[in-house]
Amino acid sequence: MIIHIKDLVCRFGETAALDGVSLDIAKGEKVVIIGPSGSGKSTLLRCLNALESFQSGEVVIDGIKIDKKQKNIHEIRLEVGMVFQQFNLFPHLDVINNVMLAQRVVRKRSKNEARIKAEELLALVGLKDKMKSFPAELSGGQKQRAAIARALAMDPMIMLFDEVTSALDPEMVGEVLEVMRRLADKGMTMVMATHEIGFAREIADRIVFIENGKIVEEGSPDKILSNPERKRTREFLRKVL
Amino acid sequence: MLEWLGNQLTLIYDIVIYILPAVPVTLLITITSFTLAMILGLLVGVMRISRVGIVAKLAGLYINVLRGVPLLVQIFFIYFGLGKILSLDRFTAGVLAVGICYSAYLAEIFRSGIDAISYGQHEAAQALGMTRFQTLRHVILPQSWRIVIPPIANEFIASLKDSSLVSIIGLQEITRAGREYYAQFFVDFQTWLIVGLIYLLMTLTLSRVVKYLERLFAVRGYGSARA
Repeated sequence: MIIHIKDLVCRFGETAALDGVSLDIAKGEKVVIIGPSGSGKSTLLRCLNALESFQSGEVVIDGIKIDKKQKNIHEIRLEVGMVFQQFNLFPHLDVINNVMLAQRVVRKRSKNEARIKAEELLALVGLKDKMKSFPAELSGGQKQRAAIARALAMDPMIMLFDEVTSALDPEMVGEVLEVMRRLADKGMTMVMATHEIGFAREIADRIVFIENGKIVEEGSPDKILSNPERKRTREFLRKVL
Repeated sequence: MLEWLGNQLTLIYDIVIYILPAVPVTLLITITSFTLAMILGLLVGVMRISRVGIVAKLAGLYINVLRGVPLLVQIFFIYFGLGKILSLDRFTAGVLAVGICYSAYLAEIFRSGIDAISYGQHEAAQALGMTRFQTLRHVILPQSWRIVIPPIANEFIASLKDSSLVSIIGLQEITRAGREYYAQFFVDFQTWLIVGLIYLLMTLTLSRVVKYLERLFAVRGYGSARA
């Protein structure tokens, strides 16, 4: 198991955003997390790269247990890439430098090495002609694809996608999903929080339905989306489908 | 009439010639003290947002004390008070006083510049494995810098004007030169008019330089300074 989560509890003050979540994810597996907003989808993803600290339970990434005092978070973050709903590109750098910066600073790659890697990845996400553009000059879909390239440049073993299409205009959702599909075909381990049920059905090996910080039900897309066992899952799907 | 005009022009020429050698001194005091203020200000500004409570509190104390005491009093304190103990010369004392005082204002500007950057930027950098220091150095400060150029330029211009206060401890800068000219020749109106005009000329020139700097650091389609 490349990701092992056991009895994870994450509280914000009195409210438990995650209330005893256990989940194991195998290398190369694509797991889609669905659930109402505020259910804990984002928090779960953010615990996987230590952007959020948790009160109890354990998270083990590729054999490295996340230290609660956050002593080893940099090790973890090298293994785990993340793409955000709001892109969070660095607005003062052009696209290629967005993809090169962490390679240079964190991975200590030479300028040339970082550039080659960046060009390769920008070609993968279809932004080769936008390398010299600044984020403010890109469309939402282009920004998100650049953000995916930026995360991939660190050679992560796992990619987290936190509602990456939720801030996009409808006509731009497709191009971002297409990039994610390509990534899935390459065998990347992917954990995605999304409201794109159609995409989830197509790409997921497993769908996890989460509500009030607890996993309600999990299983194959067919089982969860077509024959859910739990009443809550059915109710949720009726609303979003 | 012509004779009067001729006399006036000669007088003005006289004053300008007397004061001009003091211009580099004013510039030197301003630039040295402002460089010191930038370094200290950035340091204190970053300390101000430290997650270590005591560090942030100390920075807050530094800022509040220095902003709450008149610069003139700080100059007296450093030159006559500390200066005696540490045997500081006039120039060092003057530069230290102006530099330290302005570092408090700059610290607040740097802090607000850092605060103005959205939290998503910190998270994106950290998710890529950057340390807090790397995040600050490569992601946050380069963006803050563009935001703080105009208010920092204001402080620079203000510090140029406030450098006149160090004339009080005998530093031969523009204002001191003006006072000496007046003491020798008892010409008040023209002397202070010229002194004022020299300062005005310098501050207006600086404003132009700032406009140029803003354009230099502008990023296409981003921030207030559009290229």
